[in-house]
Amino acid sequence: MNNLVHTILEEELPFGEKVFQVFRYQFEKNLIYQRFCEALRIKPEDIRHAGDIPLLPIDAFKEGRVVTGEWDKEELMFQSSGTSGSVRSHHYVRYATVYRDSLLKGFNHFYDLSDFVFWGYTPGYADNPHSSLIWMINELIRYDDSGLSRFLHLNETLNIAEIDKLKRSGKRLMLFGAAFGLIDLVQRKSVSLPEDAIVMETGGMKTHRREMSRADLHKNLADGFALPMDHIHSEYGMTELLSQAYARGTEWFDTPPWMKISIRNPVNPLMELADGNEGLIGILDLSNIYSCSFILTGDAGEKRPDGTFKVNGRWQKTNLRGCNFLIDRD
Amino acid sequence: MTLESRIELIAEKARYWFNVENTSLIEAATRTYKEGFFPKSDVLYAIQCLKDSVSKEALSAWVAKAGVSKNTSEDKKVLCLHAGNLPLVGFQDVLAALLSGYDYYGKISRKDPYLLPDFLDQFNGTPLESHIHPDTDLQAFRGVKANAVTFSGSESSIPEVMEVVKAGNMADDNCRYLIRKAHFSITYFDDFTSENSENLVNALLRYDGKGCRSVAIVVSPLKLGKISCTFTDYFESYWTKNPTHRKPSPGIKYRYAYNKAVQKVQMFLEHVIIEESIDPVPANDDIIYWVHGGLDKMVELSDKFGDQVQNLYVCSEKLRIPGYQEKTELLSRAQCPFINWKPDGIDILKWLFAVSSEQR
Repeated sequence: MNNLVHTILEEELPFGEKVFQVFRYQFEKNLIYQRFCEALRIKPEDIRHAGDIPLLPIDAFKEGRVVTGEWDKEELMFQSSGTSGSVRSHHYVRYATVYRDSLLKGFNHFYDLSDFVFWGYTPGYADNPHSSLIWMINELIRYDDSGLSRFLHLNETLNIAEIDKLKRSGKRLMLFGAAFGLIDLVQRKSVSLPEDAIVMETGGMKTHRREMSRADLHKNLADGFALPMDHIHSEYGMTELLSQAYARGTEWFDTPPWMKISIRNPVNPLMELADGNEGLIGILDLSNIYSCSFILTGDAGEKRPDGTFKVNGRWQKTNLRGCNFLIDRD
Repeated sequence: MTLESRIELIAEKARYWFNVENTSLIEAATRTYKEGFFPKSDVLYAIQCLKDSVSKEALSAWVAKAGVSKNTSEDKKVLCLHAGNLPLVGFQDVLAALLSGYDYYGKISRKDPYLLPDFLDQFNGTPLESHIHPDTDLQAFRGVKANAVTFSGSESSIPEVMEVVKAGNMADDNCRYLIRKAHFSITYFDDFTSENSENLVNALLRYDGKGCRSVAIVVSPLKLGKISCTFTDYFESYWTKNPTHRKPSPGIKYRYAYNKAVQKVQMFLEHVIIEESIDPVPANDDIIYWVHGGLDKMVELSDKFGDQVQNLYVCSEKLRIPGYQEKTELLSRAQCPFINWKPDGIDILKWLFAVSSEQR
């Protein structure tokens, strides 16, 4: 294991120091990222600020094996979900412990792990060994030794007796699920969760059948579970990342100390946008030490000076071909 | 006016306007390229194509094919919101409005402000003059209450346009909208003759790829890597004859670097990248996708992109894309269509008459 990996999650070490070490390491050892930087004619000595670091388009995880270092045996391989025929992302994770540490430390940064019982309203781990989300929930379930954490069966309703048992345990409930999975759950049967419970939606506001804004989703979930709005939280993560950001009752996501956001100009992603401007969400996730830590997503968003960020959905490509009638700009 | 007299008048005015000695057209064209709206070669190309496609015979044939009756729609109004992505892009809508007998209200694009108004000026002093109302300011059409509105838009721009039209009382309560959403075309390229190669380059690069008839995806049994060297000559030749105003976008270097990173075969042509792809997502007009495959791939992509696709081109008259006969056209006509071509598969003339009959 590279020595860097022991320091990237250390909260005492400033991000600004670690990020340049990781950039140099990946520039040297990640062939895809190296070719990318060289084609842009960017060398490590050109980088003065984290905002100067070129961000690799996330599609690289669909079109190549994005790994840092010389290894061909991964402990985990995550694959994005997708419709049949679509090309899926693959994230090769050299050491499972890096993801586990990032997940648990990151979670503990915002919540107290030992407080919670975890329920996952998602397909189970055995059926989806290549889903990074389900692996993550499974790890949280494994961490809790109360015996109360588990994956719920899809199509089942919440069991009142089980909720009562949970209340008596003195632990809090955190219910994980994708947006429409949770909506289906409350529509099947509204159940009052314990008042200190947290519902953690993991995204998926738009499917081929349905679309809902995050605000509407949270309102529906708060009503359905009889919880205050600030107990409906969101997790921002993806197959290509080993860290997660959390929005705790607001629309603004916080990142753990080893993950930072850089909003980039969609026309020229080498250019970082100032806080408050909408652009493409770029992510610097140091826990991706063995893949690529510098990723340009296809999501639109904006950042605040305190580092928190908001996700405004998928970036709408405005420069479409054809005869777009742009009434204001004509 | 009778339909025959309209055809006669429009054909005569078009013949005069397209005449090489028409000084007002020369002036409008010159201002258009000198003021940087479009490259000179694109302006001249658009004019030549329309000149070749508009004649009394062509207009009569269009009217006949559209199944138009002798009755015209003289009490109806159409508001055409013309796009400005290529020179004279609204010309067909204008002809359809005038042929159909509608009062024409035309929002002229500020990106193409001289050519269409100059053509419309030809009708001054004719019986059609009082039926023609062009303006570059959309607000000039407040209270028009049109029976029909045509415009081109993307999913994201449509609600905005509809709101402005409704707020300005520009459309009648029963108004019908013809919204074109096609963004690009796909070609099947299996015959690498010199003529076909030139046609392909024209279909890709003419108007900087901004028209919905422009090709954004090439499906070919040959891989890009096999033909890129030969094709470079065709591209260079095209640009020598048709210099572009376009500056390379900053994003194109980023795309080039990304393709290098994932070792994707690409042709980097400074303003445009052609890249080999298995999962194309046409969005920007500076990226063209080369997909290795056969006719089944054409069908798959046509199914996938649906009404975003304007046309499917082929190199040979004998070839048709299965299930898409109506959309199939010859590659050589990509940028130079017949006057009765169907944006989004709809004959505007037929549509106007249908709206008129419906509302009568």
